[in-house]
Amino acid sequence: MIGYRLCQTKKAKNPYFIENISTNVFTMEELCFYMSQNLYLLDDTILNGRLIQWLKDELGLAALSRKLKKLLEEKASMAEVILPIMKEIQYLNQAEQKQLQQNLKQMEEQPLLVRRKRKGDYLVEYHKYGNALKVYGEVLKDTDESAMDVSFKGNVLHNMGCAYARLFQMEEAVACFEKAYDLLHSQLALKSYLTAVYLLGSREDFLAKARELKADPATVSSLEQEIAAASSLKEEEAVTDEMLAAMTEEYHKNTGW
Amino acid sequence: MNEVRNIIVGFELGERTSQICYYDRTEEEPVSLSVRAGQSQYAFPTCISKKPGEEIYHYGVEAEYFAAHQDEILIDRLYERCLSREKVQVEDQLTEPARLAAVFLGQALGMLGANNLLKNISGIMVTVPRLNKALVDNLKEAFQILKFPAGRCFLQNYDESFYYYTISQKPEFWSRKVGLFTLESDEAAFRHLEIDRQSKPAAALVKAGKRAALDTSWENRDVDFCRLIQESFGNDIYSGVFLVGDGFDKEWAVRSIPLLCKNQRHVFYGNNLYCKGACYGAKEKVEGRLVKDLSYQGEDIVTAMLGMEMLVSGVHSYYPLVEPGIHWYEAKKEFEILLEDTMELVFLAGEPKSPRLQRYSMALPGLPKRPPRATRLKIRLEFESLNHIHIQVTDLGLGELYPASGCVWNETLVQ
Repeated sequence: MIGYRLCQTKKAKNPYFIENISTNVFTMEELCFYMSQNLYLLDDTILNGRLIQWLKDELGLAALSRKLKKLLEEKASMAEVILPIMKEIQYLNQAEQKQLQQNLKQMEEQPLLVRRKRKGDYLVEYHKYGNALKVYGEVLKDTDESAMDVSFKGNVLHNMGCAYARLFQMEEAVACFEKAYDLLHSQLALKSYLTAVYLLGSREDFLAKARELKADPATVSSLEQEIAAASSLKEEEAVTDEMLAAMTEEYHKNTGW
Repeated sequence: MNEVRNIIVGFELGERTSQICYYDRTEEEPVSLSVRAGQSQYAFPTCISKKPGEEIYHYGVEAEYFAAHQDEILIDRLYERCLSREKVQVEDQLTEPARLAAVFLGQALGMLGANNLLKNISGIMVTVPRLNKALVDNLKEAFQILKFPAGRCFLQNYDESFYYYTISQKPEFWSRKVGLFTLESDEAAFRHLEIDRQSKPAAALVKAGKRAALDTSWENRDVDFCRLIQESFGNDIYSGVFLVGDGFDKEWAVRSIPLLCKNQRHVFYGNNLYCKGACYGAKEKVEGRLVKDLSYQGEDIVTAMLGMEMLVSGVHSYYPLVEPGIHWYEAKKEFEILLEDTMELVFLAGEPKSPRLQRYSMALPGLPKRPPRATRLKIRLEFESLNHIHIQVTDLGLGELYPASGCVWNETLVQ
C-alpha cells in the first residue's frame, strides 16, 4: 500500500462552515474526510447550495459544482451526491468506494429515528453537546408518538444524560439517567445515574440512591473508587488562565451559546 | 544603446572588475557598454563607495575616485562578500551583502541609459566566477530590493557563460573541442568545452584543465605559455580557442600565437567573453533555445533525479520532485501530501539511466497519531549545493478537524 497521496486541489481562502460540528473546512481532502467518516451527519445543512457555490468560487471546481447542483435539484440520493465529491480527487479506492456505498445503503435502510439518534451520537463524539441535545430531543418527541421499543428510548435518554453531564448541567443529566435506568435497568445506566447523583449532590446522596435502587454493593464500591480516582486526577491539574480561556471558548463553540 | 524595450542584459560580476552588455537585435549580438563614452573600456571595479553620514553611493570607477579624493567609504570585494552571509561594517552599522549588491547592480544598470529599467529589461543574467547558496540568496534578495520580478533575473557561472558564448559563434568554431585560456598577471589556466554528440540531446560540458605559472620575463613567459598549450591540447583536436584576461599580450606571445593558430584554428582574444556569454544565456532564457538538441551539463546542473512514490489522482505513480537538467539553485519544489498509514517519508533518488533508485527514509518523530488521511504535510525542497538537498516538512494536520501540531522537520539529503 502506498503511504501517501498528492494533494492537488487548491485551498480555499474562505472556508466552508459545517454547521453540525461548528467547524470550517478549507480543502477537498478535509471535506472528503469529514463526509466519509460521518455519514450520519450528512444532511441538508451541508449538502446544499452554499456548498455548491463554495466548491465553485473557492476551489475552482466548476464542473463538480454544476453536477452537484443538478443532483440536488433532482433530489438524488445521498450516495449519488457524495460519490462525485469523493471521485473529484479520487479520495477512495475501489474497495473503499464499494464499502461506502454499502454503508450508505445500510444507513438509508435504517428507520429515520435510528438515523437521527446516530446523528446525535456523532455530535457527542465531536463534543457538540448542544446540537446533540437538540437532535436527541426531537428523536424523543417522535419516539413518544411512535411505538418505538423501550430500549431505544432508554438509550437515547442515556446518551442525552451524557451530553448534559458534559455540559455540567447535572440536574438535567440526573433526570435523563433516571428515566433511562427505569427503561433499561442495565449496569451501564445504573452507573451513569449513580455517578450523576454523586456529582450533583454528595457521597451520602449517592449511597442513599444506591440503597434505594438496591444496587449490588460490589458495584457501588467499585464505582465509588472510580469517582474518587477521577476527582483526585482533576485536582492535580492546575487550571491556568490560558486553559480556562480555551475551555470557555470550547464551551461556547460546543453549545453555540 | 539601440534597444529601448525588452532589453536583454548580460552582467559579469567579477572578483575585481565587472561589465555590462545588452543584446543588440540589429547587430544580432551582445554589445558591451563602455564606462567612458567613446572609449573601449568596458570593465569597472566591483566596488561602491558611500558618502559618510548620507545615503549617497557611487560605483565602479567613480567609487574609487570618491574614496580617494572625497573621503567616501570604499566597499570593495563585492563578489567575495556576496559569497557569504556575513554582514559588512559600513560606517557604524552592519549591512547585509545583498543590500550592497543591490546598490552596485542598481547603479551599474544605469549605464544602459534606458527609461524605466524595471519595465524595459526583459531578462538579466548575472555571471560570476563560481556560485554558492549564499551568493544565490544574496543576489536574489538584491534584485528583490531593486524590485525586479524574480522571473527575469538569472544567474550562471563563468563556465556556462563560456558555453553560451561559444555556441553563439558559427558552428565550425565549435565543431570540435573549444579551449579557453585565462591569463592573469602571473598565472594561466586552461578549460575546455567538449560536446558529446552521441547522446540525445548532445551534451556540452566544460572541464577544468592545467594551470601554469607565467614568468615575468617576456621570453620565458612565452615558453611557459607554449608548454601549457601543448600539454593542454595533447593530441586532441581543437576547432577554436579563446584567450581572456589582461595577462596576455601579442608582444611577448611570438611563439604561442602560431601554436594556437596551427591548422587554421580560430583564435579570439578579448575580455568580455563571460559578459557576452551571460547575455546569450539571458537571451535563451527569455526567447528560447539558441541551439536545438544541445544541452549544457555543467557543474551546477542537477544530473540525478529525485521523486516519491505516491497516489496521484488515485493512481500509483512516481512523482518527480527534481528532474535532471536544471541548475541546483533554481530547483525548488513545494507540495502537500496526505498521509495514509505511514509515519515516515521515502524519497527515491538516482541517475536517470540507472536501473535502481536509492531509497532515503525520513522519520517524523513526534508526529501526532491520527487516523489515515487526517495528516496533511507540506514538503519543501531546496538545494543548498549541487549534492545537498534541504527538505523541510511541516505538519498541517487536517484543518480544524485535526489541528496542526506545529511540528517541523528538517533534513539534508546528500546525494
